[in-house]
Amino acid sequence: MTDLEDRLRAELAAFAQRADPALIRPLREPAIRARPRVPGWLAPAAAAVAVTVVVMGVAFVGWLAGHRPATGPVAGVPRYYLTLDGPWSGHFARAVVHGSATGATLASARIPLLDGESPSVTGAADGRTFIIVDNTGQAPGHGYGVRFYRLRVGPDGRTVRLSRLPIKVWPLAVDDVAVSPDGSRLAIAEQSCGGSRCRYSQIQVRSLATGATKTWRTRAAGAPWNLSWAAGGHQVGFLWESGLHSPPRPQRDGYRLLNVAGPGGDLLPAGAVVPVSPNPGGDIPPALLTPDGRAFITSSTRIVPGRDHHVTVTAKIIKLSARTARTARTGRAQRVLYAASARGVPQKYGNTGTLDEQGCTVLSLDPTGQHPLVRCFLLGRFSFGTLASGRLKPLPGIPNIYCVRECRGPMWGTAAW
Amino acid sequence: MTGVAGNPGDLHDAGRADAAAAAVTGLFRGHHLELVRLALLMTGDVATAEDVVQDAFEQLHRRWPSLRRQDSGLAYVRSSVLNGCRSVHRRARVARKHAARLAEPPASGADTAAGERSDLMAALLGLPRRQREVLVLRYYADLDVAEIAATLRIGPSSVRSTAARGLAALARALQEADR
Repeated sequence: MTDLEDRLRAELAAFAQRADPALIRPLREPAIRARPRVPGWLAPAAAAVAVTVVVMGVAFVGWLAGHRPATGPVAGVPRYYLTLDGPWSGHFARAVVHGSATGATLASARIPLLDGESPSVTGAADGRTFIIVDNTGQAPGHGYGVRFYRLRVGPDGRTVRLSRLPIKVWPLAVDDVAVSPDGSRLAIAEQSCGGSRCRYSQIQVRSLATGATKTWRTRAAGAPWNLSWAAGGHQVGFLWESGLHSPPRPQRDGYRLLNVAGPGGDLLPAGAVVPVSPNPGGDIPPALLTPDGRAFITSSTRIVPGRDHHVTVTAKIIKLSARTARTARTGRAQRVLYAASARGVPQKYGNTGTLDEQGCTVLSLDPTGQHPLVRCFLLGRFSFGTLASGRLKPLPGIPNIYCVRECRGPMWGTAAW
Repeated sequence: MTGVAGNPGDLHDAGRADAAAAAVTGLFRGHHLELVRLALLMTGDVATAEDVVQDAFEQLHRRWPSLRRQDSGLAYVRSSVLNGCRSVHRRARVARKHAARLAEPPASGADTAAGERSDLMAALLGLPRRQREVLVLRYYADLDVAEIAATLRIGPSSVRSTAARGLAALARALQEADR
């Protein structure tokens, strides 16, 4: 037990004492509803009806989904995708190169970890260069810090070369990293924080060859994250979200574009901001800039409660114009790329039934922007794949499973192509 | 013929309702204060914490007959309390958005009380939701990794990594505050 853990335990106990047992209100007894009497003959009939309803319900869910994952290889996608597994034993994670056509594990590498936190990965447009970031969010030394690795996949996909990049960011905290399409630069979202406040936030673009940097900074309360590049390497898309302890600023919060061709400067200049819509858990869904720099690919989730604790979850992958915030706000600049629905009782499905977790997340975009790598949780059904002609086509290598108690699969930042 | 009134179904239903009430009452007596304090640590406000726990117990009472394992009542109500706290945060966020639109300064009990908090508690309340939940369950509720995983419906490895990340963030915040 460290000093910090001891102090945290003591301060939590002291703070909790503010709930004084002599002053807190007693529980109000909930009203007990009388159950109607049911004739004995009704049970078999009800069972028969229930079976019929279940069969119809399954058909209904199928009809609602309408876009069940299709099978077969997907044309036009990158040859490889990379997933991060682990951490294992708290000491390393495994980067696994999968062949997109077969899902076969072609190569893998052990990524040493500083303290057992899951690393994240970002991929370049060549489909063979990946940057992996092991980020503990803590000062260097004593096992803490931020480490950057470059993983290069050989031409046949069966060999990998892992090298540590000489990048030092301390005392800044790193929130997100994206590698440029040609693999030569990193965009890094950083914050300078002290106590419960942060002094400034910035996006730094750093050349991997020379170490030269350009910086765009703001003292506004909040943080940039969710970085992505347009194809030419001139623009970086990011999400700006106001700080938790400051009033949200609708004119600032949202997906934004940063022109990184020019010199550094203000991170939040006046300009188009694509407004964000939180998912049911209150989190902002990640959005990735399309290679042409004209749109963001993101997701939305809607949950409609029904009878008997049932809910209908509708998840969509959508394309939002990056330039016309005005029309995006009205929805006219929004194009639905994929939609799926499911109906059920969330609590039946273990961790994947948590309403906060429902919906789809865009993990990575291919160089054409036509095939986002997508992960969906839909009331127990987990899908991982890419979009093709409005359908979610599963990528082999990661099974699409019907999760009952727990569901595992790539999360944001742990899969890329 | 015996003198029992009504049919066996009525007795069975009444028996189940009694059992549910007794079980929920037992849980309430044993854990009400602890759960209010858990909700207080998540929301920062005593009255809100009381409401959240009230709702959680009502929900538990309604769903008692359908619980798959009735010895998991405490885990169920603990999860309900945490879900309730998240809803409170979501509602607060919506309210703040409206406040911002009306160009009025945000006002909430949690914000006003912030000045009375230590650096550590202020930093804890500023952590992302999941990190805060894991740290409170581990260092206040004294749950082990498996119990936290079951309560939050996440994997044990996620619990460990989230706790490590939360502690690291707190340490960083304190280090900066001490400068």
